[in-house]
Amino acid sequence: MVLGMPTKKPDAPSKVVALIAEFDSVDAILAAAEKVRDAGYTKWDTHSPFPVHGIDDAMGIKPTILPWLVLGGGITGLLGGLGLAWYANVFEYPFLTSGKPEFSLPANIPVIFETTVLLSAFGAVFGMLGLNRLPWHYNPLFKKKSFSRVTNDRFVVVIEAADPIFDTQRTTDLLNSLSPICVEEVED
Amino acid sequence: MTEQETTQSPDAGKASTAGKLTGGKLCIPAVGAIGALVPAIILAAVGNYGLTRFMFAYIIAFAFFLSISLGALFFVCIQHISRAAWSVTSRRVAEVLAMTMPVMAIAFLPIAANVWLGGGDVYPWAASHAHHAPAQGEEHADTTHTTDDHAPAADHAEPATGHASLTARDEYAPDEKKAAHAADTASVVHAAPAQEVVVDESHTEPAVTLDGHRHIPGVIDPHTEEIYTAKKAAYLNVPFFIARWVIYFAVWIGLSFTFWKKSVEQDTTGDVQLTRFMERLSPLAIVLFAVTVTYATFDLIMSLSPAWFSTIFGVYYFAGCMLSIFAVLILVLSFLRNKGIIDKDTVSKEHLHDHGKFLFGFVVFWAYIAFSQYMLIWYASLPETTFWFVARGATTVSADFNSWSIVSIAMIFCNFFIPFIGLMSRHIKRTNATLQFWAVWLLVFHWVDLWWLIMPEMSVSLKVGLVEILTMVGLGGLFVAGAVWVGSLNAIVPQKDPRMTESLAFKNM
Amino acid sequence: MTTLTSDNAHNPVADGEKVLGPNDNAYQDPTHRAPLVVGKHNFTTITETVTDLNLRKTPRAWYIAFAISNCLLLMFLYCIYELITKGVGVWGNNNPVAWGFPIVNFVFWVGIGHAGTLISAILFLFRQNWRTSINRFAEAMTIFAVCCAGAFPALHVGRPWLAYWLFPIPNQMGMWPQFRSPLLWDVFAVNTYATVSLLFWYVGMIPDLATLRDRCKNKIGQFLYGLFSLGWTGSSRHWHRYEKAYLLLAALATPLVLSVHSVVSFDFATSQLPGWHTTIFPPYFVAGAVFGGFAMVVTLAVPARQWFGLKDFITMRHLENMNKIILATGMIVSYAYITEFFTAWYSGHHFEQFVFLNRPFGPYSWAFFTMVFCNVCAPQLFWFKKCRTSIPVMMFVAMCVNVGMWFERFVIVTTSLHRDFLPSSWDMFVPTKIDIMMFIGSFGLFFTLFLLFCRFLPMVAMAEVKNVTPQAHAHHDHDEHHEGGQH
Repeated sequence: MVLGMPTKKPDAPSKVVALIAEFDSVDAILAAAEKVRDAGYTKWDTHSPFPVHGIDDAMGIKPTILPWLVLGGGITGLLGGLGLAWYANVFEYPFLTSGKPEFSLPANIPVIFETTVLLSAFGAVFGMLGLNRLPWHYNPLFKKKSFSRVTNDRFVVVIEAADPIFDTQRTTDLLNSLSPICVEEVED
Repeated sequence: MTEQETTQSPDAGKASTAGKLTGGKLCIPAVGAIGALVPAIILAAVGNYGLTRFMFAYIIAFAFFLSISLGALFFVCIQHISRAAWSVTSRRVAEVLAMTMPVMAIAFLPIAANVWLGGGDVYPWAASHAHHAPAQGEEHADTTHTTDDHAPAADHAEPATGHASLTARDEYAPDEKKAAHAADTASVVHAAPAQEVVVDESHTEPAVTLDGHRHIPGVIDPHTEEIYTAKKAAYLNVPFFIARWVIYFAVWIGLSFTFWKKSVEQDTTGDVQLTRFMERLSPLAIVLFAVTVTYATFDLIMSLSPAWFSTIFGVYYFAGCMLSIFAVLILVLSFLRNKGIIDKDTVSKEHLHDHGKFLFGFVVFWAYIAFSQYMLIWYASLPETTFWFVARGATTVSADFNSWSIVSIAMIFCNFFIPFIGLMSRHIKRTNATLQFWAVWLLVFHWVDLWWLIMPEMSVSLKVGLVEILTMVGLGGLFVAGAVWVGSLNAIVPQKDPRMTESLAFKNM
Repeated sequence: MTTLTSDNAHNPVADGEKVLGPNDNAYQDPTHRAPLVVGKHNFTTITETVTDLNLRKTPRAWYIAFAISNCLLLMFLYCIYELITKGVGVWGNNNPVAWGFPIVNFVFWVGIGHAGTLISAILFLFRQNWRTSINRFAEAMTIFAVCCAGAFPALHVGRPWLAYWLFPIPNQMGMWPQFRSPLLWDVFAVNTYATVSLLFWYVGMIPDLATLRDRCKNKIGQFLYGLFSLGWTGSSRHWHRYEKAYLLLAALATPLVLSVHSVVSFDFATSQLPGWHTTIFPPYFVAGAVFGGFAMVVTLAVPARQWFGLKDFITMRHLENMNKIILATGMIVSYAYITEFFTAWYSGHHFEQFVFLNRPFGPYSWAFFTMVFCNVCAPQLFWFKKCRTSIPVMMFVAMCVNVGMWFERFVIVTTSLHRDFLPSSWDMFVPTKIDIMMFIGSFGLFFTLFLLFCRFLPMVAMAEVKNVTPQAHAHHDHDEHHEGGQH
């Protein structure tokens, strides 16, 4: 998802940055995605109101690295929780209570567990947002009529002008050959 | 085992391409393996603990295989209650494993015999059977509302009336208990050392009682144990124990047989109402299962130390049951796939992946239950319950470490951390070899878990050897022979289950 | 079950169940999966039905409900004012019952706050797709319940303005919290739970907020929905990471939800008090929390589907499934009660035995038997399908469970404390007016937040519901009835 990033200078306001084709069913978007993928485009995307089953294969999306970020968060939380309990109750402010050793692993496990889960969850949420480059509130797509129902009941294919094999005429022909509802040009 | 006899169902839409298990070739070595019990008995008999050692090893093996049967029964129930489709192709294997229940009932006979005749060498409360010790609980029953301080062990230090039975029991009492009994009849109070405030130098040696004898941490004083045993005589007595086990096995065999029978019936009739029947039976079955398994666990394992109690104990054993059934299902299904008896698309990588997920889930569940039990008892540090963990060396007081400590610590890693990390990856759960490796690993450590639960009641110094291995082989032979025989009677995958198509099409996210 | 012949296959009548109309999906036919959404819905109508609840003019009934909730909230704030200005003496807590209503209310609300995350996380992992219709508002309920729960211990510390001492923050006194104390575990557990539940809820809502952004007509709405939807475009590359994040969050929230009530139970169970110190407490509390939480979901779902016209989404089958979970968790709770009583006898310790005799036969026996009736007896009605699918019966049982679960905590707290080891210190616990007003007032906080949610945020997870409709799958005309995974 490179759209929305200022890839072009704003001095050419009416320049076409992408082509957008609108579809109205899951079957159509899956078929379209396979065709666009096979045509060799790389800077393109499909948009849908819900995650379409099978679109990853149809588009050739590679597995995300998100699980590693979560693992990283988890390990940080684990060590952080352990360190916190040790620092607070053994190193900085040791005191005796209920006959427990200063460092009592059984009694520290609940806190360590919670910090592990907390930081893993941060890894999942903020990792996902970061990898998706969200929040990103300005997007030229939002100006298009054919994009307005993509969070409702429509599916679109967007091919960016930045794609190396993008050619306004040929790409429009390709999109039209997929029998969409309409094809529009997106200006920045 | 490589023979295969594909039974094509006339109803192509619901048929699976599963063969039938032809058991003969596996049954014979399995039955032969039962013979391993003989050297086990001989080896035990010449050892320090005599037949008592064999009985403890036997109870471990019995608890191990029973946990597989029980886990299988629960697996079948839970699939029906949730109307699951993914598991349909694996369900028959579980039904067959649950049908080993009659075999387990036979395997229980030596334990029943020991309780009846053994006079308490294994189950201390059984000692009073021969001698009809008066129920000492009576004298304390009216003190329920009294307010003396909360030190129950000290509380009952007065000479109890039922000591006639003690003498008899001591004949068979394990070494440490005998030693402790002979040593200090006076020192009833032995507050579990886990509650010692700080580990200071004086505690590096075992505590010494007033009359100069060594006190072994974790070994409950026989007087105390006797007092509490007598209070529980209404529950812990030989006739009731045996009556309960008759009920347990009646319930388990009844349920296993019904689920198996109805499922097999559907192979030929394809009757959808059979599915509805099992869906309706399963909630009732789970209620019965929960009650029987809880008390069976109390009886089989917890009452080895009759003074000790833990409300979660039934759930702990249940966690082990579920862990072992998913491990066994993975291994059995993989074996049947490799031999071509089950088609690789019928039980696919997707199905095994799901079993792997459950295996992972129950690793965590086991750890959760084990931690809950340990941490609460450790934290409250009440001598009436800590001694049980001290006997297993599971203590934070270094003076109380014993040879079981290494097992206790190893279990944290081998039963939880290592398989947790090992099974986390989707890739590992979807690769046959790695999934099977972890299944074997967890079965081994499920045995270690049971060994750790049971064996310290015989000796607080670590005991493992050929006796345990041979007993496992012997009882394993019986179990496998039973399972293979039942499994060979019908197709090893349900044939006309209404959810078969859905099950075959199942894919993970 | 005498008619086990294949003649009856596919015939629901033979199964002793009435034939249901086309809009009823509570039938039991193993050959077909019931639809998750009834009525003639497509993506467009799902969007319209749900977003119209937010985008239409505020109905008058909402203002009335909001006013009532606000009155209760004001009462809650008044009680807090009384508490802060006069001290904790305004409560009925005494010695020996040092933990009175505040802890009871805390555990009660935290328990309610378990159903939402259970539905979103655990049912998600178990592929129970019927959760999609109810997860959003159940999660909202979770968060608001946790807010109510958090208020009580924060106020109970005596000087709530110093509650930050509970956190490991370096301070001028050089003091650090006590990590070996279960009360500190609570601080971590409840805060982690609140944070992760909030993230889970919010992440789930991002695509639906984008839908509202695209459909909203007024400027303020467009701006706010736009702001919080973070520029979501429904990109498949985004969905890919989003789904992974959701799965991972579910996998994290599952042990978390178990841990929270376990940690709450540790508050009691690590003590040496008979009736509190028992090892079954962690799983027993978790089951009780799910039990109480689902009862609250049913309590809210039944009127909500009526008033907001969501009957096509929250169908009878959804309610029936929730009732089954109530029955299942109710049985686990009953199991724990029985095990506790048995073990108290089996322990042979007369203090244990005394507490468990004091519960049914002591001065709080009325509370005990209320609890047993509500938590053990009432849910047994759900063994019958007729009761599981009857709105009045399920409302009755859900209300019973709501009451019963409050009394369960009351029984646990009070009966163990009021007669401790020394009879000279025995005392009764009598709640004060402030105690009672504060508890009722906390419902004001809960409902105020809940009504705001109903008004301004999408009540049903549109993207998720769309995802489980037959149209969401390629070539749906071939295998329509196998999709959905309803059970």
